[in-house]
Amino acid sequence: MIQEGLVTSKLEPLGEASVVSLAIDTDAYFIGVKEAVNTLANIKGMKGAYVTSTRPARAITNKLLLDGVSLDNIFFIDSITYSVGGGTGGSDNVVFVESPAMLETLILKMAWFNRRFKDSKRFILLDSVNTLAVYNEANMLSEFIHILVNKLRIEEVFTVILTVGDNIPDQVDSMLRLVCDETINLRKGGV
Amino acid sequence: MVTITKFIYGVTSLPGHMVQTLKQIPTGIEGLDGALNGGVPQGNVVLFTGSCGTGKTTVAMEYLIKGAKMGENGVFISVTEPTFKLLENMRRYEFFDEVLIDDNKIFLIDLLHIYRKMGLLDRERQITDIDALVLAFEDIVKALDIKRAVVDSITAVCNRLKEQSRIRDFIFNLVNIFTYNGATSIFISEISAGTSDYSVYGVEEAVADGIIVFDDLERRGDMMRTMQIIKMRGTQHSRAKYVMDLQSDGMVLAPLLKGGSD
Repeated sequence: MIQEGLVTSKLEPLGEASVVSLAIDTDAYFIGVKEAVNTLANIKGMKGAYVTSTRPARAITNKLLLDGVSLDNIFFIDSITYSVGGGTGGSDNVVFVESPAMLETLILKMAWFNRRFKDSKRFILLDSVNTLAVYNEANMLSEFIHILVNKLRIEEVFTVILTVGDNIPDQVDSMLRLVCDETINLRKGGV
Repeated sequence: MVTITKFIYGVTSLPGHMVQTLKQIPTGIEGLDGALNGGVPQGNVVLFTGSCGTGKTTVAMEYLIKGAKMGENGVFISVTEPTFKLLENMRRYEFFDEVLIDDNKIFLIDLLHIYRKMGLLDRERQITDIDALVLAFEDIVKALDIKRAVVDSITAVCNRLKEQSRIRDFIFNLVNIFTYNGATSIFISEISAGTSDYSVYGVEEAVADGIIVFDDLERRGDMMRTMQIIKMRGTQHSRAKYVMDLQSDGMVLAPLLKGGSD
């Protein structure tokens, strides 16, 4: 487990259009997510798109609200609820993508978010590389990260790409190191 | 009124506004203008081709609406569905603004009404009928100062003409009317899924200045809409295949990941 406040202390000083690879251990997943969202949405006051393929948006929303994190500035792009047959109704701040394998559609939904809030400072949190790696070949996921990061860089969007644990393909890991401005490795032995 | 024969045989030079290098008109659709490297040359006829449900009509309508917002009057000539149904479908898009119709910036015309007025509804078209129909299109373009036109679909219009020679003459004359009057137009071509042709009769793709293919791509059970510009005379356009999404605020494009293309 990581020390409380560590993720905040790493993200808060970074510039508004930074691209960050954030690596945490599985047991630090929620504290990492909570601090990343809170730092960017509430401390830095940015509009955010939380792109989830790990857990349904509803589950993340419930957990973050329970932990006292305001989600007023957050939209969710959820690619897991649909694919597991979950209900997609009644969520004004969620757009659904049918499957984590639809990487281009994830890019399109992020483009929608950027277009809608083009006059605001924005961030995108991608949760996570690990679950996307389950549904996509390594070369395709690398290509996705390459295109995504460069699109977001042009749009000057603060980008956090989350890696949980250490079981991601080497090719994807190399791409993350190549395209990200900062690698924040908070895994055991990485701090 | 200019006769049809003049369009077929008599046009030896373009009108003044067309003589100089063709000006590219932004469609107003962000991703599409990027792929077109600026827009569609004024007066071009562009074939939107694809099977049903691939997004042709919606993108064509967005083209008209964005144009009207930039001060260019548009007409949507509907053959395949009643205009009230078209309106119902468009109301869920944020880019759609019904005021543009009330203010006579966009005109929705049901071709069946034109057929009915001309007494052509229940019989096969004769050559004189086709001339009259083309002239009716010309009247619309001139009287309403149309700068953008959509015919949805050219396939359905041609279905009623039966003979290949009549179809060829009709399309050729129609293209001339739009081009001569400086209207940048979209002809929608309905094709079967999986076909490699761009049109049913072949004439449509031969006379069009541009061809944009709308398609579906299936990848491991997931379906995605795609768009690809095959040709666009007068532009240095992208030839890449894009994944397309029709969002509430309009069409968005993303590059098709190479690792996932078929």
